[in-house]
Amino acid sequence: MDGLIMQILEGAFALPVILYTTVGIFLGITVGAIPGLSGDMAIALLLPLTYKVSPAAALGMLMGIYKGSMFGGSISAISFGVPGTPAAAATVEDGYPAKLGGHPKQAMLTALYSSVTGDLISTLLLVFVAVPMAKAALHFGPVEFFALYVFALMMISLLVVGEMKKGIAAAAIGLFIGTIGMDPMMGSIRLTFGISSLRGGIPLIPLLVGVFAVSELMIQFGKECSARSEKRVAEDAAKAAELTDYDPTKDRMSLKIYWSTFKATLIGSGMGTFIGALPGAGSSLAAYMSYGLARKMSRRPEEFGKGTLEGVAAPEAGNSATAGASLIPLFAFGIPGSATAALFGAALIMQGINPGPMMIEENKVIIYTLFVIIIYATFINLFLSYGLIPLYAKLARIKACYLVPTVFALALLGTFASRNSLFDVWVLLAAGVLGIYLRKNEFPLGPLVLGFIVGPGAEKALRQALLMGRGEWTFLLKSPIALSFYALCILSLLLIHFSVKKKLVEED
Amino acid sequence: MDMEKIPETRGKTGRLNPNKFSGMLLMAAAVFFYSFTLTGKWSSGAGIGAKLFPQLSLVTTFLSGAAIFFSRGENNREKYGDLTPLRIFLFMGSAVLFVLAVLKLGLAAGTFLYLTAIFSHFRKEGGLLKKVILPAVGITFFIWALFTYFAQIVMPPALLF
Amino acid sequence: MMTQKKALLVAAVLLMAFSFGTIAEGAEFPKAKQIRMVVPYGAGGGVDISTRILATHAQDILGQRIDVVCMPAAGGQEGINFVLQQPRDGYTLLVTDYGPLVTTALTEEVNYDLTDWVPLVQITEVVPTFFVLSESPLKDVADWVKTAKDKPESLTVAHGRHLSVPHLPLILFEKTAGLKNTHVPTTGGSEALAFVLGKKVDVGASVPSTIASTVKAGTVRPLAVCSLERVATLPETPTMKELGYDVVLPAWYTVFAPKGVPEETLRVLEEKFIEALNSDGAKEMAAKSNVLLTPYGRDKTAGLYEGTISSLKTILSDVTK
Repeated sequence: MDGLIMQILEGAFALPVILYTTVGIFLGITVGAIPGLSGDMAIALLLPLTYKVSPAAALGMLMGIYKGSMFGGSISAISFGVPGTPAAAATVEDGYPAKLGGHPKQAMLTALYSSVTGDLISTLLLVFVAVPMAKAALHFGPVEFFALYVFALMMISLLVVGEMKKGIAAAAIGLFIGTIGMDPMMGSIRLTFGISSLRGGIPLIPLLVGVFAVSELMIQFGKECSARSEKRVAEDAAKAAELTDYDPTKDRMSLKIYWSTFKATLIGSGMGTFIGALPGAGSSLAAYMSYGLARKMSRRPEEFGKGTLEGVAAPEAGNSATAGASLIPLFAFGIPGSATAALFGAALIMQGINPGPMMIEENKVIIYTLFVIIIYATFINLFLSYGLIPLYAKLARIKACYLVPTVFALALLGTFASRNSLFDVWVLLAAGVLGIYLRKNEFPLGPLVLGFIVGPGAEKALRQALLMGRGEWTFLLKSPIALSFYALCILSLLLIHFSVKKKLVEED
Repeated sequence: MDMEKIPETRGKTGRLNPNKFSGMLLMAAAVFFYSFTLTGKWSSGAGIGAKLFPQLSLVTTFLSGAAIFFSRGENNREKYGDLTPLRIFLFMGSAVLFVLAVLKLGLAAGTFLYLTAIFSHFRKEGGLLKKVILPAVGITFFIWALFTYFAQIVMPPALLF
Repeated sequence: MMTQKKALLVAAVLLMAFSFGTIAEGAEFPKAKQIRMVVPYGAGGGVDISTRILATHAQDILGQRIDVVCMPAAGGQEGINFVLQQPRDGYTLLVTDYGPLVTTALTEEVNYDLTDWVPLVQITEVVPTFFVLSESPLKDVADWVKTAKDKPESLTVAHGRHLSVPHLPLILFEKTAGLKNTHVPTTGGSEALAFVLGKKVDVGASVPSTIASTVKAGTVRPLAVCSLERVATLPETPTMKELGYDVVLPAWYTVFAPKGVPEETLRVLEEKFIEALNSDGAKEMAAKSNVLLTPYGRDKTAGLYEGTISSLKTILSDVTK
């Protein structure tokens, strides 16, 4: 037994392993911070490397990329309002206003600390309770998934900052866009209007990057154009004042602040772990639902959307928690919980490790070594990010007229590189135009994205459930888990109805 | 009942109240796409068939579009006034040209041209070399190295590299 | 303005400087440029891994870099179309199973004929496998047939995407044995496995690599495999043929060249690829990744290609969309 522990520790703390892991984390943060490039891409590109280095080093590096990219996305989300990864889209809601309000450092560090906390919690759950958790996750079949998705859609449309009808409209548009392409059950082609490239549907990343990032870049471009054409001295002076207005003393991070957002962080961690462990749910969904739930349970929900740090902590903890959690079904049953987990699974297979229930037993040493690496990678992430934040924050201070076209070029090329598809680039641009329109008309973007992501899943779940229930709609109610979600839906509707009424009464 | 604002149909700029416009657009789009679901081949397998979800989402779009149309227009402050249609066109148009340039002329050439064009658009006075060419060259090199060595994207054969 | 003109001049000069780029000269195959093997699936998947095994070792033997490029967009059609659009010089090849190439061509409109492709070398094959939960009352295929005949459509079978590699043998089986089951399409083998484990469906259809680990752990019981011979990783599992059902439909992972590549080039590719697949390095890598190499040359591969096409035509003729 001692021999085993020594082997594990030697393997995990070998210098090449630490080195590769650190490089991976650095790559992950960097790639995550660039809109259009994602951690998945980096992992996919570096997969062949796993043949050439030791398993621990290879897996450590890939794990590092995964973790790093979860946080990296928030760097650009906070610094210039452009989410670096889809999962960071929810972080923009409060992260960017926080930066504009003069608290970039607090926002970034809150994002970092809650990311790390979420990550750590789900990693510990992975290491210690993977199998029981995975077993619980198996109880989620189509009936339960459908109930979950209905609940998620409802929550997201209703908890919108701003006009509810616009939230619902956005969600409906997202849902509709999600139906383009092959239908999830029979593979029949719908709504492609004869364009063969649409056969596979609208790809997620270009859509997201377009709607969020490109529209934001456009906004900044517009601001720069204004600044250029109006040579008003007053305006320039005001701008100069804005830059020096930043008061570092008002932007200090402290333990107190971390503690004040702890509730939000925990909510995010819990939600993220839960959603991450469900195969197919996804980190963006986790981030948004964490945000929504934290807002609901916050003492000051009206602050959300204006730069409250709770609004940063929750989605960041949420998306980072999916990292460890999505490996849970992979490690327990060989079923990847996300695309990234699938890539990770491929890396394991290439190392001769078969993901699944026998994996831990057959590969005790390497798996436990991996667990150790995953845990300490979280801390490397913490320190490395802490060091990189000032650097990346400075990058954000580069004049917009240089930054905007560079980031845009990167996004365009990165989107192309992701699937080697020119079609994706056109989707990116079209989505950008859509995003601009939505923003100009005060439509919230979150529900659109969520409708798009959840829609196909919900449809699939519904139709699978109907098949299993032989066409009986009552089959959808035959599950306690599903019933609880529906109950939650009704409860939320009632609560919202009453709180709206209350507000109207108060206003009289 | 609280005092209602008289719904304005004309905004500050004399254009249509944006909410009315959005509402109409949503309803029109919903009807347009819905018509496609009534014709053509639609698989009817797996319980509800392939038509239901698109139809459901379109009906919701229509209803919320209607709700928006009839809603009290809020203060007609224009959000993002800097986003004039011309600028949007410029921005997107330059992106399309960039993509075409990369395909026809090569990654480095296309990126360089695009960056140079945008940087010089924003240049205020003098310093052509310093403020436009050098940054463009530097960033182009960085991007070129990143994508050629790191990402190895499959470029259709282009004129230059 | 003078400075504007200067700028344009500088830009033009730089452009010319850049233009001394790599333009391929007419050189003997494969010296001219790198070879690209296009995979119409996402990175990390079965086809990708298998292709990498070949590519890594063929590189040294051929003396030219081989890039594996994943182009999953439009259900793999973008990758296929890309290969079709490249010059037919043997530098761009397609590696795929029959799904995007054959199934799609037989069920939808595509830009090519099935005769536009020349099968070169087969890398491996995956075998559709039917399985149940160990605790299931269905002990073997005979039980399945009996239950399905007594109560048609009472059993649910999860099988990956509609008309996918595990689904088609299921359809064929039902045709042959005269059964009716309720099919539950899923997003892939993993989901099918999850449903079986979670007791949401009665039977699952997938490939051995997806279920290997759970089989070993004893939670899942494979019922039968749809190949000519038993699968090495599931030695106890009978083939459908052994049980009396002519359901043989393994999915090959084959390297294709588009029609029009010179015969000499094809010969070189075939020879070197077979050599690569037979090398010790490749065997080692394959064993590590749980891939069983089947280095078949052109003739055998072409025969299997034709055979699959005719099997699919039969099965798909009944399937209404």
